[in-house]
Amino acid sequence: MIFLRTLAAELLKLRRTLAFWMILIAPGVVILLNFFMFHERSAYYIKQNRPLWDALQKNSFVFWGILMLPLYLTLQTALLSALEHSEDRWRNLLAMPVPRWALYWAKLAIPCAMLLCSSAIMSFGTLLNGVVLRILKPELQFPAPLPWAAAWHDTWVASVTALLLLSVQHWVSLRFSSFAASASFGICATITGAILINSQKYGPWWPWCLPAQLMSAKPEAVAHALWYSAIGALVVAVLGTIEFWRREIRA
Amino acid sequence: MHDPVIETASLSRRFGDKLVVDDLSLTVPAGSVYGFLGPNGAGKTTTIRMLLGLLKPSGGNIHLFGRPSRDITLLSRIGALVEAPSLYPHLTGEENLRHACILKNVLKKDIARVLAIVGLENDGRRLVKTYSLGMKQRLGLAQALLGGPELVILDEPTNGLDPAGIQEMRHLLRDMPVTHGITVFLSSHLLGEVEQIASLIGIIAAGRCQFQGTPDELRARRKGWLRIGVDRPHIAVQMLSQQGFEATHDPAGHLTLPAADPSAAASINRLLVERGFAVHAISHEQPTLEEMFLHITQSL
Repeated sequence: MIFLRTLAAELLKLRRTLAFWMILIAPGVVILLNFFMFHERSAYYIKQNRPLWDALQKNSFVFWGILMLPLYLTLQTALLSALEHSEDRWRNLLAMPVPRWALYWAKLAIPCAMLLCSSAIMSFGTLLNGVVLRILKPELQFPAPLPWAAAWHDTWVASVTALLLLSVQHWVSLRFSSFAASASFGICATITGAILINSQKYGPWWPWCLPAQLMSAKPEAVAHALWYSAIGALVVAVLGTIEFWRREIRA
Repeated sequence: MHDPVIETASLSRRFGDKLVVDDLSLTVPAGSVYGFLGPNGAGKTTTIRMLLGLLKPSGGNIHLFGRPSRDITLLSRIGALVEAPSLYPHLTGEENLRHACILKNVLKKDIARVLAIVGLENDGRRLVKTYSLGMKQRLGLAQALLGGPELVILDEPTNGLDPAGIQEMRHLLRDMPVTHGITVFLSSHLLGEVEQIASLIGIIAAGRCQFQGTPDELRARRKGWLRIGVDRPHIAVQMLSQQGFEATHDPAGHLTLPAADPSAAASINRLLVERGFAVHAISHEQPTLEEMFLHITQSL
């Protein structure tokens, strides 16, 4: 009950924020880029002779998983935390009769929900891309049944594999009051992820590489990414809660 | 005297090597307006942050409403405004209050009541970023009053307000124990401001409590002096000294007799006249509360 109240209070604060619109903007940019890519290079995709829906979805999620999603979550967590860091609003928020664990988890639940919404927009926007391309570029010949199952699969796999990086980024953004510090941390981690993505040794363990595992042809790699991300996110969130519980709000 | 709503015993707080609050024992009875006074850096904000659980004491203990302050449910009986109000500028005044309502588990209808108390009933739907500093301060107070707390803790509530805003805030706070049954604990570095509304005063300097009591008790501590205009002041000083009076004189020819009782004025005057001195002025002077406050806080 107290958690739901805290969550409702956090949701109220999203009004008129950039963070709220980013739910739509981040996947929207990728969807549009992908649309133009298929629209302008239709001959290339016809020549490739690959299953078109698969190519369209993979194209979208490579860009989303490796670059856009980690950067999006970096920005979201930093923007949400800045609401409290700015003018040291913690001092009055933490003087409210709400346990700190509820605040920490409500603040974590918001970007988690945003992640799920954006991933869903990404998946189903990609399907919409195919439908529009079917009309504008009939030569591409997108097959008739829409791959709904793949879209659902992409949505939840992208969301769960990003939980660990989100949990880490959430703690970092709450811990450090500087927006630049939190954003820099996320950007550096994302760039490191882009470098490590093809490493068999480090890639599967670097949280910022996990969303890209969605593209992996090996089901065991996807399963590893899902479990590692989910359990890791939980561990980081518990440690973050303990740190947040003990934190002092100094003048 | 009512039961204390705030009671600290030997409270202390250290930051590294620096002892910011040292052996502080305060008692704030229910129904009082308690002025917590001290110069900047005296330890007021640190004390308030400890009362609200934002900082942990290094030693001593805090009881709120007779219970250890660690109990987070006690915060639902307290409204707080720590330094400047921390409002969300992208939300309206009402939305800011609704946010606090949700967290305090208070019904939404209370918003209209508290907006009326602070005189913002016509501005609740405006974005807070369009508010003046005074309006933000009043909205911060409205937030503290949501749900009818038994105690409000206000840290420098008139900071940044213009004289009219200060006066408004003063009226609001002074009437709170009577009109709303709320105990007020407010910190300030301005005695003049607190003196007008507080029923009790606590003075803190260098982290230690220097005085705690009513403004009248503080006034009673004032020791006055006799100031006498006389010819040949240096000879008069010698004569008075032989008669057992401690006196000094200034270049303008005035004698000063510290800590003298006003009733001594007549006998000293008679003595001077009998010895042939021309007395042209005599007055009993006392330090103002402001001077006493400065004396207490600066003598450390």
